[in-house]
Amino acid sequence: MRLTRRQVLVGAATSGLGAVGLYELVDRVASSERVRRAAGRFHSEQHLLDGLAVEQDNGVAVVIPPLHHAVVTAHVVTEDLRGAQRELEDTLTELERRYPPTPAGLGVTVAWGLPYFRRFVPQQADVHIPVDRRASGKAGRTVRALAHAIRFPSDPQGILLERNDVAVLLRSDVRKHIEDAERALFRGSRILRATSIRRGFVGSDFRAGPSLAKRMAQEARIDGADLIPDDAELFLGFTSTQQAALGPSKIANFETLGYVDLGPTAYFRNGTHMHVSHVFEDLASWYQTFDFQERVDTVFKPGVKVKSGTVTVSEAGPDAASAADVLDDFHRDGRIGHSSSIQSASRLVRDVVAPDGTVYTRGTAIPQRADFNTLDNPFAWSSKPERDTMQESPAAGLHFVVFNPTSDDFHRNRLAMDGVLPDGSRLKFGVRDRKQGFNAVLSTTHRQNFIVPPRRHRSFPLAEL
Amino acid sequence: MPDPLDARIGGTYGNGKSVSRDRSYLVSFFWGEPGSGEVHVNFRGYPGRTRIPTCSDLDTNRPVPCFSDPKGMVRVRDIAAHIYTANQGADQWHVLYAWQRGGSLYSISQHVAPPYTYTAVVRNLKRMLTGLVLVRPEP
Repeated sequence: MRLTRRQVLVGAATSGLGAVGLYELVDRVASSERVRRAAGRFHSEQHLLDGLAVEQDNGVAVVIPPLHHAVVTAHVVTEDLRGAQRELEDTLTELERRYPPTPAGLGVTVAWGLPYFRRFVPQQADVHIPVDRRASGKAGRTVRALAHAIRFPSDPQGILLERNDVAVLLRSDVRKHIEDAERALFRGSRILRATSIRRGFVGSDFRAGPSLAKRMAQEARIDGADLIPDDAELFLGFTSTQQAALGPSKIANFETLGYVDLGPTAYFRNGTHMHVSHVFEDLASWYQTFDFQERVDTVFKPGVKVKSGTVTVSEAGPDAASAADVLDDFHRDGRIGHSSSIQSASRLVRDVVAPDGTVYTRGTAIPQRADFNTLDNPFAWSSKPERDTMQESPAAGLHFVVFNPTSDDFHRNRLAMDGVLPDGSRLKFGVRDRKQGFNAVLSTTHRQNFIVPPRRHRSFPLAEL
Repeated sequence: MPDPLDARIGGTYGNGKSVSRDRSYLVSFFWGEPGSGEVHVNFRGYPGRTRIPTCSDLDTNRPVPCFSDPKGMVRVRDIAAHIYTANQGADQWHVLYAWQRGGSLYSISQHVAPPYTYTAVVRNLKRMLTGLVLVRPEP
């Protein structure tokens, strides 16, 4: 079924709480019947989701993410924090009673931004927010695991570094579960007022072609949509959820890699850090000015040879690139790959034994990505449409959600993507240079960092102290 | 040709014709209106050779194929044309059909830009391919 442009626009324009417009299409377009494990365990970590399937594609293990995603950001609108803490916890507990923490049920991750900690619990935050050992050592002063988002070299001048109090990530194969959670958490709330709603999807039907990503882009009449490969998991054509490219189990927890000092009571043990950004993707440029080999060079590593049309490429730990590899690529080809440059900062450089005894081997990915494609422009809904430059027409993009142990760790990864490598090398690129990974076709509009407290402290953290 | 182009060399929408020293030629038609879009069609010929020509990469100045990212073939009458979607020079942002005939390479391409979508451009190119008329060189 092809929507008229008007239907698409109306759908996008009315995508507020509970009215998801364009994204209703996801359920109609997604072709695969999903069989998921319904039961799941509530981990101490909010960011871990049980029941994720793993399938093989091109000999590579691929994690199958939930189909529907939403991020709702909000401001706290009460001074009664302890009352609010009880109220939010009651709502979250009720959602947990209704839905298991699996794609068949609902994943809820509540994350808190620096404005919340500074405005409501500044003294407690000074004591309990973990201290980033690496960043503090480098800066020569105390640097917390949660810092303000920064503008990276390849970011546009007008990027918005946001100041939301809280962000709630909702993930499920069932759209109605997400809508139910949005209503329960925000509709008529006396404690939280939504500032934005961001929606999107990740299809797992990319082996059956044409994939959800392609069909959604086509339905929304995105320039370049027809050139998306039929078997693309995401708009940019390559599989992004290779198991080896996603941090395993608890690696992104504050306590796992020893990147932070947890403080006197380890209040945030089992917690992590979350970065959220929105990125426009210029599909027409990507598919019409980069040929297949250049797209492979750009996404993975210059010179990687794969059969034409391959969408799933191995990114296994032993193949991870070092800063020296990236420098070699740059000196040889004048370009860097997106994955290889980030790997120089995002993979373990040696084996690590975590406090719980888990051994994470050299080359293991640290970030746990939860990014999803979107047709938001830039959001599905905003409380400040002018500030957020909201447009009615759909636009191809990505809501980038990633869990890292600290803000600084995320910043190191993202800087590497711009050619600022962990060994101190700074590769010289022009603005939006096509030799600099994806950056020529990406344009980031918003960024913010958050803390994801452990499940036991997810509601108004530190308010009880 | 796609509306409003009329295929008249030297006409209202004629965007120039040029012949290089290697005898390859380009005949271009263009219509553009700010806010409305543009329609741009190129015809090329490479007499006496069938290999895809080499262009200079805009960023690196390295030699790169002028037509790349093949997306299969289309057959019309006795023409079997390869479809290319990532092209260089005057064909950048165009979808391009290239075929061989009599030891020479020929191509037609259209810019993918409003008011024409990718699908409409492919339809236009196929129609143009169907309607090609052989013009024999005159001394």
